[in-house]
Amino acid sequence: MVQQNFALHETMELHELLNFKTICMTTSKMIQGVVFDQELKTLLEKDVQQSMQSVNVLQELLSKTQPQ
Amino acid sequence: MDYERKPINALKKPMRNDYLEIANAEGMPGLVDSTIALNFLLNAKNGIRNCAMALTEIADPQSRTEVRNMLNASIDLHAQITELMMKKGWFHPYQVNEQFKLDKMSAQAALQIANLKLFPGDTSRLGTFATPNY
Repeated sequence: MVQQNFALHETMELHELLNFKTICMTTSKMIQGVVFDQELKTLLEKDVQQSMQSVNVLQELLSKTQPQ
Repeated sequence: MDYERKPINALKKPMRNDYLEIANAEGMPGLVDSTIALNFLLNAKNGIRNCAMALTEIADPQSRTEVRNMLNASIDLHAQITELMMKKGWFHPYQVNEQFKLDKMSAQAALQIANLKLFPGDTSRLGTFATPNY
C-alpha cells in the first residue's frame, strides 16, 4: 500500500486533538485525588480510559504521516 | 454521599487564612466537587466542539471514523456528567434563576479564594527532586 501523507490541515487538526486529549487525560487523572464524590471520580476515570484510547488512536494515525 | 442541599457553592464565613479554617470546612466537599464537576463539564463540551471542528477539516476516511467515534464517546460522557451534576444539585438547566444564584455564589467564593495567600514564599521545591541541571 502506498504511504499517503495527510494534507497539512488534517495533520494539524489531529495534532491539536492529540494535545487536547493529552491534557484532558492528565487533568482528569490528577483531579481524581482531589474529589470527594465517588461517582464523580468514576466518571473522571472513565474519561481517563477514553482519553487513553483516543491518544493511542491519534498517535497511530499521526505516525502514518510526516509534516511537510 | 449526601451533601448539604443548599447553598453548596457558598462559603459559610469569609475566608481569612486558608481553606482549612473550621468555619469553612463544613461546605468544602460540595464546593470542591461542584467546581471540579463544572470544570470537567466545560472540558467535555470543548472536546465535543474540537472533535466536530476537526471533522470538518479532515478528508481521510479512517481518520474521520476515528474522530467520529471520539465525538460520540465525548457526547455520551458529557451527558453523564450533566446528569450527575443535576442529580447532585450542582447544575440547574431548567431553573435559570437558581443557576444564576449558584453561579454568583461560586464566583464570590472563587474571588475569596483567589484573594488568599495560599502558597506564600518560594514554591520552587528544587532539591526535593533530582534536578541537577536547573
